[in-house]
Amino acid sequence: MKRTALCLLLVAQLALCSSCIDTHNVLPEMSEIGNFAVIQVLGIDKKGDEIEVTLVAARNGAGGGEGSDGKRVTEIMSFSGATAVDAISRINSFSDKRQHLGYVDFLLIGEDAARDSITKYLDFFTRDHESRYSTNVFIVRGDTAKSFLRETASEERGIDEGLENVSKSVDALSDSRMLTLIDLVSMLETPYCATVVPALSSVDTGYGEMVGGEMPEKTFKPDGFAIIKDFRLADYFDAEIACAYNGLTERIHTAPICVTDARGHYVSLEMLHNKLKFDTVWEGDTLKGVKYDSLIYANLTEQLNIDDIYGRDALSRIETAAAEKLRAEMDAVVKKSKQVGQDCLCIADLVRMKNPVKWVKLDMENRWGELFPRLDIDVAVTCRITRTYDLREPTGLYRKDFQEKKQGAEVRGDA
Amino acid sequence: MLKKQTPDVPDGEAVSCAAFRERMRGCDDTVFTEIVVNEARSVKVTAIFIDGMVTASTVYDFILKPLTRDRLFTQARTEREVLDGILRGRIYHGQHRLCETMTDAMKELLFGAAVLVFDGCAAAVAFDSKGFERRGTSEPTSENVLKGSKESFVESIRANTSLVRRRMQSCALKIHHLTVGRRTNTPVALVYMEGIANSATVEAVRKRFEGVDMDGLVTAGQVESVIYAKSRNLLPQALYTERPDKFVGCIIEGRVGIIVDGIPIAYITPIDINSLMQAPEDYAHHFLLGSFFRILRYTCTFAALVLPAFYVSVTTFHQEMIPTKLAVSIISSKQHVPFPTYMEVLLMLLAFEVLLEAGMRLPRAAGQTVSIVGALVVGQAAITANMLSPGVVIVIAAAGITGFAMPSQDLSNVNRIFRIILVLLSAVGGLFTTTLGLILIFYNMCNIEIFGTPYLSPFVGNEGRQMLDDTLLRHEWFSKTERPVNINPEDLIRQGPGNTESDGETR
Repeated sequence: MKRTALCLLLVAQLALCSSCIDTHNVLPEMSEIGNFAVIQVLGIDKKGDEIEVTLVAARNGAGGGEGSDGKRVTEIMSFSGATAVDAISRINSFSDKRQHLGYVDFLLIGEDAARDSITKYLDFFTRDHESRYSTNVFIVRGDTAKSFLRETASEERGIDEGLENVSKSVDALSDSRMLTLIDLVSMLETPYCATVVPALSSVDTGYGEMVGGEMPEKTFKPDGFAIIKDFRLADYFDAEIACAYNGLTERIHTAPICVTDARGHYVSLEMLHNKLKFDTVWEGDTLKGVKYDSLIYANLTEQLNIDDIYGRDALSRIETAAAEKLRAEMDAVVKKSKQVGQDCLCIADLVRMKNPVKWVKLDMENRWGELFPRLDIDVAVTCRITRTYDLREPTGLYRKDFQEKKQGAEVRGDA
Repeated sequence: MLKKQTPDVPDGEAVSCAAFRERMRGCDDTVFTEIVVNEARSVKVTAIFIDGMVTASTVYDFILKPLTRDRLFTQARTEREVLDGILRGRIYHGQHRLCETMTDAMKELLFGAAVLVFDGCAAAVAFDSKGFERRGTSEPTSENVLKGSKESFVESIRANTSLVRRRMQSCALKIHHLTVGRRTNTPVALVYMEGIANSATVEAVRKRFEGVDMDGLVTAGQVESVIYAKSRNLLPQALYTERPDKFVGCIIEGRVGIIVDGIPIAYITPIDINSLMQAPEDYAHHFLLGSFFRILRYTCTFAALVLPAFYVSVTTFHQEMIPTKLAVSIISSKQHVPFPTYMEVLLMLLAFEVLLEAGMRLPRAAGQTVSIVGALVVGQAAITANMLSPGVVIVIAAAGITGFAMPSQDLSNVNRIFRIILVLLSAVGGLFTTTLGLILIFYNMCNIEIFGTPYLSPFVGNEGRQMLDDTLLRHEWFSKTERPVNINPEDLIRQGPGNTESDGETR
């Protein structure tokens, strides 16, 4: 009996000390899942002095009952209010379902809102118990989140599916990255490193048609990275140098790169692995500069001519061309970073980890703002071609008649 | 004790034919045959037996005929001489016993013996000549056998003990007989291995049965109420089987077996929760396969218990735990369903129980039809009519199927009751109250101790010893060197550490 009483007491303590109770209810409140709208994408914009929230809810047709079509419906709702909570409450007041923010996978911030203050628009979502810290955050480049969501969604293609595809293609193209809300908050809290948020932009859907359905007005693509300075959008890394930014922050998974061979024909390489070495250059107690040494392993994935480019010299030339191209892009990243006056590569963290004693002794954390613009940042890139997939030489390389004909044409100067 | 069991026979009453007639008055199946052994001297004996309980030919040919033909008997001058002749073995019969009180004699008569009553000596001789009809040994019906013996226990205690004895040709196998039941005088056999089974446990089991004061021991539930340490507790506290091989396996481990006449199953005690999760088939397969099945079984048991409650909890209280696409799917399937999720789940669980019950009571062929009609037709119709959501049907079907993965039907039944309770709790406070329910179930298990064996051992107690031996994993035979330590066997060592093959190499 005594043990039973003790057990019940302990269980009661769990209920009373869990801090999940209010004065009226000891137990959690019951709410049927059928009464919820599953919000998968949420957009935030600046609308005058107010905050405009756009919610994208996915619904399927009734699944079980008679007359069910099982068709997916995307519902987009916008409302503005003094705060994000106010806006969402207004949406709740006219919607037939309660908006559940626990499923938000993507949070889009309009450019104007980002230029105003990113923390102001994020506060509710970092505080709210329903929102997930694993939500991916994007800045909508050159547009509002509301207009972006309305233009890129259609009945056949939900915006959430498109954004999921972006997250999947990041690994294959290395032209963007997925940034979760918790990582973003962590970056915003770091005083010496800049906050860099992936950006999206809408583009016209001129690339294809949808048979038996309506193509959305626009589609979207990753469009570089937004640089946040003092909690406001300051500038962008363009899409052309987004891969190089990922290279300098060791986030390249695989990425394609095109260069030309000795005869000017295009050769395509696939970057597989980026081994990045970082070093610091000191003069006494003064940090003069830092060095990046990037070793990239690549596959040769395509050549557009029927030449033997597999000799040491020819390959070296291609490797050098790829390395030069990447180095130029990386230099552009460094240049932009210095131009904005923000340590977008988070070099400070690397310096701190490499020289922790000096970092503290020289009070570099507080001085990093003045140190960074004067820093020499040297980037060296080496490329190694390691494989050529199933074929080494192109088809037709050993056909003498063709090679002779080709040589003859070259001698005659034919195209 | 005997007084309690045969209250209609006064203790120490002298044997007489009249006493028998008085006791068996109204028992028309009792045959009284008076035999004149020596007519000249009027030496008479009375043969009494119950028709249908004895083999008539045995009684006539081997007991009655010698009495009328053998010169020793036909020339006997007194009944005492006849009695002495029988006791000296002049009647060729394997088993006979002198009864000097009515209690003994009645017991033998009712157990299927033919009794010769000597009124002049106030004694009787009981000849074992049991010959009643019994069901032949057949394949087990509640425990399917893939690789193993197809024999099963029957209703006759003697047939059952012979099935055990045939598998254990050892004099250490002890079969101790008891009689239980005031009115039924049901024979009960305690089976154990001397030198292996803990003698204190054997004594405790014996005392438990000897202390029984009930009218009869005719149902399995009555036997269980005797064996169970906490008879009001829902959890099964004894293992039952109709497979002699499983029974013998447990006896060799050092457990005590109980065979009751008239019940075609045998009970095993003491047990732990792990015993209820083991199936004889585990030992018929490779040990890795056996381990896989065990892990699967534990997983299924847990799933069957918590799946419906978990579903109610996450769809009613913790929606953010559901992956987005699944949530969209569940919401769309619930769009036109009028009931809250917990009500749907409860209705489905009750419907499932009704189907099971109906299937059990009906003849086999009709039972299958009910199951099919109930599961397929009614289920589909309920979904189409938007009375139930497909998600609930899937969850309940999954819970139902996983629930049948348990080898112990008793545990499976308890699991079904517990899961309804957990669903009710989950409707109150979601995972919080579901966890509360699980804690209480666990607490309940912790409280049970069967003849000194903790219910949750070897997972608890014994300082972790043998925690993984033959529990979640089934180890290789040769590595099972010890018997279960939680039942405290007198000889812990089961076998040597290895088996030597002909080439002398140890495995």
